[in-house]
Amino acid sequence: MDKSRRLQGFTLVELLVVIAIIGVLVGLLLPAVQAAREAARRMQCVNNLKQMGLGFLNHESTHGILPCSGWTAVYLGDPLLGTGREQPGGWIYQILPYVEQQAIYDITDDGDKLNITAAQRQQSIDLQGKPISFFNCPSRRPAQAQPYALSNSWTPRNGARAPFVARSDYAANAGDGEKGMEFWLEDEKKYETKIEWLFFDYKTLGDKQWPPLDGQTGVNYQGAEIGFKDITDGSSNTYAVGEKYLNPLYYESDGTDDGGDNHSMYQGFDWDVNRWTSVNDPPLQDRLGQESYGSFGSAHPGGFNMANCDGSVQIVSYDVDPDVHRRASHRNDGGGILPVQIPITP
Amino acid sequence: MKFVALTMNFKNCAFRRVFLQVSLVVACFMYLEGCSRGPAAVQVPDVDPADASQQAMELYDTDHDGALSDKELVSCPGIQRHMQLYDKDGNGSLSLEEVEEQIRQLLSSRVGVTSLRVDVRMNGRPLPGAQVKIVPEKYLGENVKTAYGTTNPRGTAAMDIRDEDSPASEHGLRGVHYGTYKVEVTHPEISIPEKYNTQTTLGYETEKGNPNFVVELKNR
Repeated sequence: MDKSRRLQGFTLVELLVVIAIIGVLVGLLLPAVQAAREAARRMQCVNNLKQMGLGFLNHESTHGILPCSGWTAVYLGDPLLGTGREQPGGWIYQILPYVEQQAIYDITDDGDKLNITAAQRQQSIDLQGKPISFFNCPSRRPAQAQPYALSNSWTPRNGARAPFVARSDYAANAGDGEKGMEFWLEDEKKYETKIEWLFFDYKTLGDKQWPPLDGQTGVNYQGAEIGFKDITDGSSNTYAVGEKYLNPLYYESDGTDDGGDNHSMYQGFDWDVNRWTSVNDPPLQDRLGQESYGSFGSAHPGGFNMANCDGSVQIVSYDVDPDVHRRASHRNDGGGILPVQIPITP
Repeated sequence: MKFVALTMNFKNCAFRRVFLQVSLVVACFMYLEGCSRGPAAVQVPDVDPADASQQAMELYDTDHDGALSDKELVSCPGIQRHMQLYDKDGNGSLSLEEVEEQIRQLLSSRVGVTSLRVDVRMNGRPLPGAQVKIVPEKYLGENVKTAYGTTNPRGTAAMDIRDEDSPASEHGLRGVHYGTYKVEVTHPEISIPEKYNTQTTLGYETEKGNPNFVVELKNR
């Protein structure tokens, strides 16, 4: 009996048992493998932020100030306008020379400082569509230019409409303003964005009326030139750059559906490249169907990465105390507390 | 030969159920693994633009001419504020199709909650402690919920939907549904004219790319 059975090969029971064991093993292993892959992506994201933090520091060593925020959403970087608040491009554009991307920085160099030439407009199309690998988080989306379908009113005033634009997953810390891009005007006791702050004239830049310095509280916003002397809370206690929140439905989109992720990342001050930390903009994990233009946040489970002004990078939990998160973005509120760091585990 | 015998027996085999169960378990593991990325999606309120626009006409077309005039829209300030967006042909009144088209566009982003901060200003000064309530227009149906907020010392209120109006997985999310609203402002200490609360003339409609809104009140 024994002998004849062995000759018949596997029985069905043996086969089923083997399948069951394999099933359980796969079920146990898959999550572990996925978690390890996610941990690796998160480390790469930390690395990206480290690069940006170093870019901020190198900029500070060279010019004595951190990169500024640029003008507004409808202006692109122009290398001839130098550094400081008179540079129309935002912080991403301004740190390019310090993260070995001088070639991209120089694209819109048309040799004419005071005029917006046809050549400059043409070059700007090239600039807007240039993705850079470390400005995108690997857990979220690849560094690729994406289609651009916004109305013509959003065409850059010192450039041309581009069919494809590169977007970033990182945003600089503009402070704890409750209304995001609007500045608090202490004299008038209200939040506002004045029309004369939005539009600029290359030729009269020297007489430009800028938004008040105390209208925002972070380290990167329109009109502010922040050096380490202005960050009295200490550079290691104040956020510089972090991951921005996005609705996963619009990771890859033509920009018409998410006001916080539509223009090219070389633009000036906007929801796209600056984020806030007030209780109205709590840190969030990317979640289908939720929209927030002002929050930091990421696709990683557990927490999001933030680089501080001293170049260090930390993972902050989504459950961080709202006030601790808010004060970590304020450069001079006397609060030196940093969010409790959660250990990096695979 | 032996394999053929196995397959032929399989159909009537007693272990067929066991085999199916095991494969079901394996499939479940793989499915769960696939879904384990990120929190559950936020529910998008279900509104039918055709139905809603029909209802809007019934509610506000008081002279039954098949169009909403500027005068009729006084009782729907949310639409009136955005007349230019609605009035595609620019003739000064809204047809059923224009209302339906705008409602469709308004809801096209498939967003469940979006953040909204309302500034309340009384006679040009921020009004702290005011209670702000945004009530969705009736024609949007019951799925779009009312949101509430209280202004802080700078007169800013972060609007939120009450927990009892949202599913448990969405408690703690700060935000409002996309839609057209009537705005009501009350204050526990200061008396606020009726035209800003019970007989409100204030309206709001969510705008893509702009999470801020200012309400200017006057009591003198």
